[in-house]
Amino acid sequence: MSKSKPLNRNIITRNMGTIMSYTFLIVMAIIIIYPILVTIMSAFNVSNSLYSTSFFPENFSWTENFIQLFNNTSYGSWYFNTFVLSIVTMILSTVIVVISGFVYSRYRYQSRKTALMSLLLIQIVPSGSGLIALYAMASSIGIYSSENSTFYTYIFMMLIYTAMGTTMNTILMKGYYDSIPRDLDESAKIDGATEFQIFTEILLPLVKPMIAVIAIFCFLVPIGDIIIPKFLIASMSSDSKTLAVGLMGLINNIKDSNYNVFAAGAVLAAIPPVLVFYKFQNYIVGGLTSGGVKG
Amino acid sequence: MSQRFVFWLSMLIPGSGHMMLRRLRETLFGFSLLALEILVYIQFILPNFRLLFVEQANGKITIGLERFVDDSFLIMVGSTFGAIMLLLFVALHYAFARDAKDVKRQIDVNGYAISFTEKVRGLSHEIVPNIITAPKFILLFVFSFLPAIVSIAVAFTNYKSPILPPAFLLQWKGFSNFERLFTNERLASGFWDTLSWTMTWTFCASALTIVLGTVLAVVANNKNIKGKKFFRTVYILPWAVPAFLTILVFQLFFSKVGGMNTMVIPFFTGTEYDVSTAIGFFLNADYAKITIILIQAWLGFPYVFILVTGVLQTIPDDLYEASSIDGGNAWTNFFDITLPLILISVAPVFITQFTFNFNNVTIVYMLGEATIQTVGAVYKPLDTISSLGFRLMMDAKYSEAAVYTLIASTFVGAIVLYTWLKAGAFKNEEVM
Repeated sequence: MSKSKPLNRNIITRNMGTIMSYTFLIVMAIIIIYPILVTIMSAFNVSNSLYSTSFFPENFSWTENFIQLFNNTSYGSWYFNTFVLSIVTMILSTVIVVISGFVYSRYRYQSRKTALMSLLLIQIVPSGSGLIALYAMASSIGIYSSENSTFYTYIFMMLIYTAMGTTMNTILMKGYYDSIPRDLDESAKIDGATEFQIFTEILLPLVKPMIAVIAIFCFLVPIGDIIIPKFLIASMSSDSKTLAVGLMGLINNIKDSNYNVFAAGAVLAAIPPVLVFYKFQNYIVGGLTSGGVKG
Repeated sequence: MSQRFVFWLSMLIPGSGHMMLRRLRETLFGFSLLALEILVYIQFILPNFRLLFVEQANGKITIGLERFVDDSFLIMVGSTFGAIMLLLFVALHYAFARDAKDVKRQIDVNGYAISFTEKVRGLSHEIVPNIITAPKFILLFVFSFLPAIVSIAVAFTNYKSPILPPAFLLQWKGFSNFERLFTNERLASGFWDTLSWTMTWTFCASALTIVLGTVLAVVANNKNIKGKKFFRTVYILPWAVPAFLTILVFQLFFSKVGGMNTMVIPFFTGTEYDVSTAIGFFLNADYAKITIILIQAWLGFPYVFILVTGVLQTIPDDLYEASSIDGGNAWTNFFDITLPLILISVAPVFITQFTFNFNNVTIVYMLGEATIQTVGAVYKPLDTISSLGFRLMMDAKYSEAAVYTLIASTFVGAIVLYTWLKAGAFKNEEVM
């Protein structure tokens, strides 16, 4: 008896750190998950009151809020607009980045250093700083007064995102090419491969992981951005909004819908990026530790 | 005829140096360049430049001469573009001059110079990479560089609703937009309040993000902790969900009818939820400020968490073994081995976090929409310098917005440039 008591205390004190660690980790996990779960729950809750005091849906329905979402708002076209914009931007910027990264890594020419330096410098310019001019440029060339104003605005936004996505990513991509020894190209050249073959058949398969990272970064930027679309498509019809602008309108204009409908929209919007993120988690972490910049 | 003479002659009239040296094709190229330049100059640059500063009868200096005829904004863009084209022409003249000098030198030394076709063949490895990368630079020029320059110019005009071209002519205001921020009593107090909140916000949000991410990473990667994979999956969730969604969710969550009031506070205090006593977290300026910092920490810590986790995995176990042989315990291990190694890798992150949060318009603008501007205040309580740049722009007060954007961009640009210069990023062979 007399021996077991200090022993017990010893176990507790020895494990005190571990217990506190677990407590801390679990509390943080709850803080992370709770708001997300509340949103998911309210997406399946049908109620007429403005608020709900219980965590679990009082009036559960799988589909009701989603049906309302599609019937009462232009959610379908927001979704379509956003993902088409993202995918096209992703393809365009990835192609540009992959090719120019190759050029900077493998060619030695006089203006190469200047080009890389200007990429670094342009990157300093905050992306929002040119918006006034971009808007005025868009209206001067008649984008807003044309018949297909939505379509042209989206092309315009796509080009802005592509330009934004090709600065730091090019430098990242170039760094990844640099990590592949040039001996590989040299030996292929001796075997009679052309520059184009070296690029497509030897280097491209090797840089696939980095291509994935850059594609994901470029895919996520237009989905997550609210600044540029908010400004450029502010005055347009509801059909031509992006998800971010549309959902923000939903929450600030509660007369047209209720919070449960907003929650349903938020859940649906989060699914593709979250899936992409978790599927390529390892690539993203790898790209990040190799010098990626994301705040 | 010296090399220097050929150089300066070509600098003045491209192709003339080559003509003196009897190089037909370069001469033709040079002269056609000159013809093109003159055409562009007469057709584009001169008309724009002439309208850039027009003194009106009332003494005001406007952009453009007549309303509805001249679009001040187009003139501003055109002039910027024209100025850059002039620089390009100078660069081309220089290229011609250098080539002419080189040809002259070859003739002086060898008695002959390599032919035009050979020269082009030799240059192909210079030209090809430039052509491949040209589309990217055109994109960057049109959608990044040119708008940034024009936006700077806007800060010196009176461009704001209802003075919108082409119905009105823009007026040059010099530095008065900037002066007003300091001399106008109302604006000045608004500006200093905003500046101090911007600094508080930037520092607190960055510091909290980094501390939270680091502490969580250290705790979660402890050897005794099980379920590392689960914690890691949960902790990067805020990063996986697009930020705008989380921000909207939190805006709702902290509102008077949101989960914080209806569920969390009743759970801890045991009182019933009542709309009339509920706290509107964004309706009170101080609560709103604390809430936004907490939300940003929630959003931002996964990045630091992942980064520090990566660092922790690279610390070799030998270090800890050696330390335990020397009598080190958990505390000395942490403070003498783990922490210094983490700090080295986290130090640069502080700068990226700092600039990121300083420039973070998304969260400040979105949550700012939920706040209330108090009577008499110039700006809303959550407005930072960068978010004001955006919000004033949404209100069509372009010149004021441009002033704030310019201040913010200069500040961030200076910090980034300084840290890069210090880190030697421009000399670094790995980057270059």
